[in-house]
Parts: sequence; C-alpha cells; structure tokens
Amino acid sequence: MEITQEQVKKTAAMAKLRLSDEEIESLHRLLRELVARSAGISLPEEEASTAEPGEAAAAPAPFSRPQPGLRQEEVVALAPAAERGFIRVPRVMDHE
Amino acid sequence: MNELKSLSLAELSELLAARKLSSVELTSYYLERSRKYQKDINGYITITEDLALATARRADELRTREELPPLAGIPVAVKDNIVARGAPTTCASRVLENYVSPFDAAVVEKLSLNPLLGKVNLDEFAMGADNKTSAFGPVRNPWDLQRVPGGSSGGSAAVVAAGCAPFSLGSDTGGSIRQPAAFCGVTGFKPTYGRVSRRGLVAFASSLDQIGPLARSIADCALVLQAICGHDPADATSARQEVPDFRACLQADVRGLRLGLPRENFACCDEEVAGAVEEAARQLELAGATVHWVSMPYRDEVVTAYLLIATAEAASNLARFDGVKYGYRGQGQTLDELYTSSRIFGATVRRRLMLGTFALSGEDCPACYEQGLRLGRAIARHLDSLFRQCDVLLLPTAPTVAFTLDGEQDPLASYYNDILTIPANLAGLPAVSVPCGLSSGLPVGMQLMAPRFREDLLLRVGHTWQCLTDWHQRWPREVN
Repeated sequence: MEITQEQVKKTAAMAKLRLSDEEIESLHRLLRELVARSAGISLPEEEASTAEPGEAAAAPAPFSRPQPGLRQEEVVALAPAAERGFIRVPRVMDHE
Repeated sequence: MNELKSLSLAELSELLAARKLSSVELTSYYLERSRKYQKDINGYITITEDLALATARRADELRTREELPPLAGIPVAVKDNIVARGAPTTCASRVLENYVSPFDAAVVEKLSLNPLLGKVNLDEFAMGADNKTSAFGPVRNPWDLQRVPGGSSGGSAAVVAAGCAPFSLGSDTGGSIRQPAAFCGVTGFKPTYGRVSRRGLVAFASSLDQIGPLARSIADCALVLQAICGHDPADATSARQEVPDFRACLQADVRGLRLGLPRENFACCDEEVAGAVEEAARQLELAGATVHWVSMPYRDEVVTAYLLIATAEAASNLARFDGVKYGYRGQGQTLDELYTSSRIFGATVRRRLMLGTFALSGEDCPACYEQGLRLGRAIARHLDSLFRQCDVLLLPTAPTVAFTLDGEQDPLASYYNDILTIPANLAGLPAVSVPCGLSSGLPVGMQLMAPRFREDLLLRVGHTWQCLTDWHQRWPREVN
C-alpha cells in the first residue's frame, strides 16, 4: 500500500500534532516502513486468531473494584484554567 | 562517612536499626553527593531536599518507639514518571513542567518511610534508549561523561552508579531499567508484568510497562522487591500472586540449574561484550550450573512487534496531554487549536505518537496493532518453549557498551539498541541486568531472564554470580 504525504498530514491532524515539513518527509518514510513491516508479518497458524493487549504478558486479569478518585477541587486545582469550580476551555458551540 | 556509599542496603539497615546511624545523617550524606555531582551528571530533574529530610526525621522518630521494616530510613531516588505527592512529576517533558501530583504512586506509598532524594531524569515520557530526549538536558554516564547512561531510566542508573543514591526506582517498557543498568555498571531488575503495581506510573505502553529497582547488587534488589511487590486492587493488571521471601532466595546457589544461551543474541553483539558474557556463563558452569546453547531466531520481528504495540499504546495514553485538565496549555481560539498548541512534545515523542496513531487508524494500516499483538504472542510462546529446555536464559543486556552523546542514530535503527531486552516485555517475563565485565573501560551487562513469577531463579543466579566476582563493586573513576 502506497502512503501519501496527505495521509501523513491526516495522521498528524488526528494526533493533534504540529509537524515541520522535514518531519512530514521523514515520517512519510517511517510510515511506509511500518506498513511494510506489518504486511510482512507471517505467523504460525495458531497465532492467527485475535490477541488481546498484554495477553501474552499478563496473568488472568483479576476483578477490581472502582477506587475512590480525586475530589473536584483537587482536579480543578490541576487545570491550567478554571472558573467557579469548573475547568475553562474555549467555546465549543456557538449559540445564536 | 565516605564509605557509606559502599555499604549494602542490608548493612545500612543494620546500622539504622542499631541506631549507630540516623536516617537524617544518611539522607544528608546522599543529598550532599547528589548536589555535588548534579552539574556533571544531570541525574536529577528535581532534588527534593525538604521532603527527604522530613521523611528522615519521621523515620528516626518512629524508630525510637517501634521496630521498622528493613528498608525504612534508607533514601531513594525515583524516576520522574512515577508520581509522588508534593514533588513535581515532569516525565522530562515541557508538557508537564509544572505538574505536581495530588497523590502518591503505589510504590511511593510502599516506600513511605524512605526519604525521597529527588525525581530522576529520563527520556521524555520514557521514550528512548540514551536519555538524550529529556527536555531538561541529557544525563551523562558517570563512567565517561561524554557517553550516554542508556535509557530511558538513565537518571535512575546514573545516580546509583555515582553513589548519589543507594537505590532508585525505574520503569521498563522495552529495556528501560536493564539497558541503563548495563551501561552504568549497576544492577537493574524488571519484575514480572503484574508483580509491582503500576498505579501512579505515567503510562507509556500499558501492556509492557513495569516498575522495578536499580541498585548496586542483586541482594539490594531483593530487599527493594520485597518492599514494592504485591497485589494492588487499584491496578487492573496487578497479579494476585503470593510474594515469596526474596531474601531467602539468595541462599541457594546455581547447582542443578540449566542456563540457556540464545546463540543469535550473542552473534549480534560487539565481540568484547559477547565475550564477557560467555566468560560469565563459563564461570557459572564451574559453579555447578549446566550451560548450553538455545535458539532465539526472532530479530526484526522483535522490533516490529515492539514498534506496533508500544507506539499504538503510547498514542492512546498520551492523548490525555491536551492542555485541558493538566499540564501545559497553549493558545487557541478553538478547542482544536488549544489541543494542537498544547502538545509541545519533543521530536522523538512526536514521531512515536505519529507511528502509533497511524497504526491505530484502521484503513491506512489495516490491523497493524493486532498484528503486533499476534507477533508478540508468537515470541512469548517461543520463549515459553525455551523454558522447557532451560531454567534461566543468559544473554548480553545490550549489543554494545555505552555510546557517545554526540552521535545521531536513524530512528528505526535506534530500536535495535533494545533488541535483547524487548522480548522480556513482550512476554511479561522477569529479567535482570548485572555487571559482568568492562570493555574499553566501560561496563558490560549480563541479562538473566526467567519464566513469569520466577524472580527467585534470577536472584539465585545473579547472587551466585556476585558472590563469585566483584564487578558490581567497582566505582567509576569520576566519582571516587
């Protein structure tokens, strides 16, 4: 599969990254290599089924209960911008 | 006082228990050495003197009233991707430059009576094998200041090698504890995946990441493992596995153990590195182990699996650094502009996030991540089959000794630095690097790998080796 520079730019947009022209050029090469490596994988038949992340590594996942999290004021205190107990972000929707 | 740095953790523990030494004295000694060598080595991102002395005073005060655990009062340095309340956690990135965690990582909780000397330097978000990608400048190897300490736990290894900390904590995703341990001539232990809680470790690749100790010897690592291992209900991948008495594992020697040497893993190394590790195997054979060659034919496959899994998981994990909830916030009129302007990662992290996003994008790279997982599973199965032929695998930790700071590597070629360490992460195996010689005056590391939850075997072989030799007791000239 041929990778185009447009696909590199589309990936950068998905990753929310600003890249220089040199980076786009160098990533173009790397992504082609990645696809070639992925396409070149040949596996024994027993490995061809679906695998889960960490399956090879992990012991059977134990049942875990939700743990108490941080309090609202602790979370808001970490935010770069906050107002009246909420995290402030740019407007997402216009209202007429 | 200068000989304190040469004492084992067990010896320091005895002095503290007998109250011949206070934790405040010991901590002050290491703080002074940390400050003294910081300019040359740049091992720390933050030295947390006030926190350290407050904990030391608390340990000393508690000791007047009760018996404390063996490690209590002995200071520790913690990799700066493991959170500690009240101390900055930067992940060596401008993105988190001013972030202070409101909670302690599980391992920091477990070491609550260990004075925190500081947060040590690393490759940005633990991505790298040379510590050159830190936004706070590279760490320098105490054995030769013009060389890298390895990575990503380069600071964790360098401060122990320089006698600036008696032990440290690092994290290992593809070799990030073991390779810097090898480059800096210290002992670095990656436990089985799930053995140590990852709660409070800033995630890089969640199915591969594991916290572990770096110290001057296997016996020291056994003491630290005893303190930090165990099930944590707040980490869904934490194993419900009984924690053995690791110190008792040091009693047995190597008689009756079968050591397997993966032939191909020696062939890809510098001659002197391979030679030093082969010589170590011969000495362990003389000590009673059975040694034989086995085959580990995967080479490019190891790098491919790591590339696909680690970058995809990193792209997912690091999506949270968008300038909204914490960390650096850029300028933007729209939410999209805010996200993009806030993600000011360095070049290596940007590259890996791009690879990972692409691998997860579906149509452009069909089933890339799943293919990586399948390949990782095939490698894990092959390792399982090797453990039917031998008890422990013995191989070099890295193909070379520490390289110079000024060289630039092709991004893909740089993954081959980790070719000998990645398999243990893909399979979740415990593995350790111990010093086994010098090449051109630089330390060489020998890696030992065992089946899941068989840290006891690594402790047996590693401790026998360190009883036979003194490579782990050598100091770099620069810090004597």
